[in-house]
Amino acid sequence: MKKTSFRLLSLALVSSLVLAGCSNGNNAQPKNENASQSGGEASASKDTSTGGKAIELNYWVPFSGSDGEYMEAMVKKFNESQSEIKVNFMNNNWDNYYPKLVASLAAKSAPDVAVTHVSHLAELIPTGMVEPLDELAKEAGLDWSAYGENQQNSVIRDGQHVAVPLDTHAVVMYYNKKYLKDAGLLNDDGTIKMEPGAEGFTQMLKTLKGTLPSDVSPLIIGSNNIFTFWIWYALVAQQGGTYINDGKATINTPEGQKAMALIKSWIDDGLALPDIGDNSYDIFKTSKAAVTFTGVWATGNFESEASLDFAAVPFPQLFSQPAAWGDSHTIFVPKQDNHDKELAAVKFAKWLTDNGAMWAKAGHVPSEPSVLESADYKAMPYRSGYAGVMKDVKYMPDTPKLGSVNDAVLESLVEINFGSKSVEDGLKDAQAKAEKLLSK
Amino acid sequence: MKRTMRPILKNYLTAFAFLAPFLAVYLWFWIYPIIKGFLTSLTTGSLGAPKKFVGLDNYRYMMDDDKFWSSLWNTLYFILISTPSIVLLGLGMALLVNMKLRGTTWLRTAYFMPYMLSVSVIGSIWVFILQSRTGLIAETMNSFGKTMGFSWFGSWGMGWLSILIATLWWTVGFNMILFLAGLQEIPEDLYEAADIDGANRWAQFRFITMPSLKGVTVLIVILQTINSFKLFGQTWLITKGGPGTSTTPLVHYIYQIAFRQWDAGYASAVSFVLFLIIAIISLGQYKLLMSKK
Repeated sequence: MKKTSFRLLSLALVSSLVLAGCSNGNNAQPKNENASQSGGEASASKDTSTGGKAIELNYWVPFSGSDGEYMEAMVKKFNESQSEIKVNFMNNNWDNYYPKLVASLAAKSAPDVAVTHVSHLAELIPTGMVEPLDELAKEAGLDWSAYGENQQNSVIRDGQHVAVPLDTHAVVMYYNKKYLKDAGLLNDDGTIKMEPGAEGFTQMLKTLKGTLPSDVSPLIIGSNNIFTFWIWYALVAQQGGTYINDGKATINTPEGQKAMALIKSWIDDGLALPDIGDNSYDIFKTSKAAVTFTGVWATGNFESEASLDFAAVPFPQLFSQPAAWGDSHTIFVPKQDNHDKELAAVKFAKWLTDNGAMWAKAGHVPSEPSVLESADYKAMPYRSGYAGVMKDVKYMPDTPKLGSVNDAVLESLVEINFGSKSVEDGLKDAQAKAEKLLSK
Repeated sequence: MKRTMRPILKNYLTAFAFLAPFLAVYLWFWIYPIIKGFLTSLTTGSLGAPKKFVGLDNYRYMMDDDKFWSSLWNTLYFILISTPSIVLLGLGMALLVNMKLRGTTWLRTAYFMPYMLSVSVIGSIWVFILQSRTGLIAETMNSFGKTMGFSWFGSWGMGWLSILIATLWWTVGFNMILFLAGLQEIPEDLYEAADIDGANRWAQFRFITMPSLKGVTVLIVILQTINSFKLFGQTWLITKGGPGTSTTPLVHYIYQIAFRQWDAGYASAVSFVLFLIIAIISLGQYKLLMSKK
């Protein structure tokens, strides 16, 4: 009897384990389901009064960070501004946005309009579900020349625009004005006093180190996360290089080695720390670092800290030409038979970019130069300081293997930062891994 | 003859009618995906794009894929370190809370609590505690004027130690409950008889408790091995598989192949190999551990 009851108990526990396993799996992405519907009630009520039927669009975005609120506010404003189109806003967790989006495209259950990064277009296009937009744009009155040239070119595939650029977000430089002033490194206009080139920049960090308190790092970068890769890429691009050329990996090159040797030298000389992940934001925010290279999306975060007196400028030019890592959020239209919906989606995209000043609150640089000239935009602190970066941004190579090549390179760069591999060996590994991935 | 056949047939039909709902779900959600997964592993082409049949190419590619072997070794290493620690710690905690002392009910709850959290919460908690410079440990040491001389996520060994600690803290409570159930099944009179025979506490533990817990230990070892093979959330959230690929286990790599490389065929092939490994090891373990009975 006892034995049976024990067996029953263990059976019950095993099944509860299985169930718990399932529920854990789901809980792992709880943010995924925090889809918030911001229906435009105002416009809905208008519809009934005019008797017209609004076109409903389902709109997916990956803004699980603070930028989600700004986008939600924009959708609300759009819905209130007119009664023809009603957009249903659905925010998704950034981490698994692309698996979800690609799966929905493959399963023909895609939203009517969605955000994608320029760098992810190459993953979406093989599904055959990305609608070319030139005809629709003409009908919707969208003029491509209204966008920054770099941004507009970044969304052309096979001679057609396949998405509407919404913004540019780049890695830029933030610095703590108090620390730099104390070290005598600020000009009267608040810019940094330093000699040009990599030596000048490194020398500036060394001067800082001499005056900073011992627990404050001159430079902070995400030395074991994706920032290392982005900064390395920017430094390669500043030497005129890239890392995938014509479908061939070009990682282990003199440019690649020089770029990585510079980053590694900052760590070796104690000017930057080797083991920093996502806490790089907090370290700069709490004044534990004087300079940081980080994404423009950190602006909103940094300005919420009253004790921090900082400035934001484009990524410094350390080699022969200006360049910065950057990417763009763009709006694309999944293919569907309903022409009216596709047209409405493009009209919505145009409205979003025309009202880019609202989006700039999130820290991103709007894609239309005319927005940059607007009083609304200029009135915002910090943003215009780095708007120039949109011209210098070097978009990443266009390949569906981009994500996996980036991961493979990053793995090796982090090993170099931690000192477990030399610059030469690390880049050799990265080159071999990338070649293998690209050949498959 | 006919008379005896009918009730048997009827029996089977009744049984089938009761089993049918389960069988339908089982076939559709378990067996069909396994077959489909195997078929996908014979193809190439990114997710959503047309597939091409390539036979066993994916399996051949796997054989000289360094990352496959390193993540398989990482997974095996994690099983080697996690299974004994979970069994010993779970047993120790079960013995502790099984003692008739004050506060054991509270301890039972406390030990079990973390198990109810989801892996994303576990990940955030341990990153918050362990991360360098701004983590709880680093800040605490800082306030005493000391610096943490090493990085929890900075090397192969420390990375795995961090994952192990997080996993133990998360799951050991469940294994404790299993052991506790086993302990409470042992009849009290065995211990009384041993007392009368003059057996000391160690002898009682060695000759009564341990043999009685055999079944539950087998269960835990097998479950733990399978769970460790499926390790993903902790490495994804805490160490991101790094530094380099040093804390990337097999399921983590499968995710990367499927959703970073968009290579559904190769991801299915690696998954299928993982499935075979788990099946063989579980079977072997069960045979080995039960045959000693």
